Amino acid sequence: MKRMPSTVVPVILASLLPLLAVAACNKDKADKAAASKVTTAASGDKGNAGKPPTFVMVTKAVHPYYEPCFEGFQAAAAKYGVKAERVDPQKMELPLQVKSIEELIAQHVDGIALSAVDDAGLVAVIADAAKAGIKVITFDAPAPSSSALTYIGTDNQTAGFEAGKKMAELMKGQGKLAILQGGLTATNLNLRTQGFKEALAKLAPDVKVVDVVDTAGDFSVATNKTEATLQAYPDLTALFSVSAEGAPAAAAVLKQQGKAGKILLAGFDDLKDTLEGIKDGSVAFCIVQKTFKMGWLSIEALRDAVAGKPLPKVTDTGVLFVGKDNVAGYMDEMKKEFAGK
Amino acid sequence: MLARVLRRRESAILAALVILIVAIGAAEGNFLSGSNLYLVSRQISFVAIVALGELFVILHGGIDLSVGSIMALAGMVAGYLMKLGVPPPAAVVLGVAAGLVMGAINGALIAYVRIAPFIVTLGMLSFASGVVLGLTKGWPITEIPASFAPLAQGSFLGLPIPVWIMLLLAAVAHLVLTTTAFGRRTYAIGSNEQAAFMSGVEVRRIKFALYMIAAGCASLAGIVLVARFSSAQADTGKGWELDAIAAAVIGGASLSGGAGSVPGVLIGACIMGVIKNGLVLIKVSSYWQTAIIGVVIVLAVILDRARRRG
Repeated sequence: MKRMPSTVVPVILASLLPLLAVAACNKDKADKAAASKVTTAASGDKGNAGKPPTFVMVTKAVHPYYEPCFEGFQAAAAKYGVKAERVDPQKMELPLQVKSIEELIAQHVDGIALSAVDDAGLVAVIADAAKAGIKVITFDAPAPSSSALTYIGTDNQTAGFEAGKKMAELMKGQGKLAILQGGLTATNLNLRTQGFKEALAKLAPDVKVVDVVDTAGDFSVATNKTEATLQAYPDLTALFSVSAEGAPAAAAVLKQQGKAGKILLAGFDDLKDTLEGIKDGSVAFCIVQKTFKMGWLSIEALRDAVAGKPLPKVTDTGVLFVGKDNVAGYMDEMKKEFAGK
Repeated sequence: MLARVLRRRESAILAALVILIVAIGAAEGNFLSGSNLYLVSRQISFVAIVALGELFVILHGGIDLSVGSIMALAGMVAGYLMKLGVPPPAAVVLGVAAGLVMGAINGALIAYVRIAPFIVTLGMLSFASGVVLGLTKGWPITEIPASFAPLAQGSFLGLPIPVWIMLLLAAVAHLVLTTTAFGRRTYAIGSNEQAAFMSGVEVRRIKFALYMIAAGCASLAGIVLVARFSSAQADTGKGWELDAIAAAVIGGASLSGGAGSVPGVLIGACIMGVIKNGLVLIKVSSYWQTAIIGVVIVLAVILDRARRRG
């Protein structure tokens, strides 16, 4: 009884094989943009002057958000004749991101564009990279304590302020609004909420912010909390989400309760279901970070760094408002911005 | 009848739930409105379905940490099939089947290879959510046919459909645990596995089945959630294992096995759901809600244990 039949282990292992095969096929099919491991094809002789430099984008983890970032990174790399690669840590965790950077140091890449998962925790490894002669910049998420040469990304407080300005305008200066925020400890979200509240206080002092609702970055929590918030504040006139999951979750609730379009809803980020909400009118607008631009400017900054040019400390890539009028073509617009360069 | 109810082991925890409901209702009348109770009951039903499956595993002294990611996997499979044009009923069956495969792997490794449930299901938690991420790259599937939505968005006799699903599953689970040999043996394994084995209980076969039940319930919850949102979300179920385990333990289940009941799980799930909704309604600051939830959970269990000792 205490011994398992000797056939069980092979059977279990065998049953896992098809899954592995599926995973492998899927990886082959995935476009180059999604390649998650650094290819070693041209990494043999980095030091040679004739070889184009290799720049690597290090994300926080696999996420659709990074796809346009990497597209911009690749497009700029193609234009300037440099090599672009991408590494995705398995999880959004500091030790895994540190490990990814250490591996890149060992491979002697020429530059790293990093979406920092942490600040203080990355100081040492970024210093190591610099010592090894690798140029490190941050994009999307900064690491201000580190020696990273520049930060290219959204200024979250400004973005929040812009969003607040737009909401104040659409609310015609009055009404009651609840803010949805995915996690109350995320610095970038706190900055957005802060900027958003500042704009309302300044431009629409009669608008009352009734609550900052913690949606925990989770679709089902956001749904439940939206339902409860609508019960708690029957006279609510607007909802604004500073994180990605809030707007689509709230849109689903409003649609089910027949309140779509009656309660003004908007939020950050262009998830697929948010865009569908904009098309059907349940979401008034979304604020899109210029991810393609972040990737493109990262390559330019890394080239400048390698050439020894000074870099600005921060580049605010700004935001784009997506509403019914430009929902169909905004992504192409963002890319066109750089097509002629 | 009332006396029988009071004698039941769940009476203290039921009292806690009633106190909670009365207190929140007194503070904010809106909480007891029909429309809010409708929404809360639906919110609770999903966690309760997962927790019912988790109960079976906890009863034998095990734990299943992978229920949340199995939910996501089953929902994704069902959602993907519907996107391809597979009729919803078939997609539901195949989605549950995908979840059951994961449950079978859990069960086989735990019952036959004799690896600790904590490790096996922790591995499965990562594996199943990783498969979802690998196949979807984190994108939701929004091409869900409108005909599927009523499974979660519709109602029958005034109650949301997911609540009916929960009640049906709970009734079956209760009968299985209280009237069948399988149920008695599950409790027996949890109380004393050696003794159960010595008296001829097929311990391995039962353990295997228990992890299948947990995975089956989780899969069903994950698929009904797809109907709830009209989309399959890649991050569905994150952290739900803890809510499910908490619901079972609040409801009187012992993590060392052998104790726990279906009514207890339902009450536990209700307590969790009522606090989460109630705190928003009585306008407690979001910044303090999490702390209060922690206090209420522990208080409820203290009340329960005090009554049992007394």
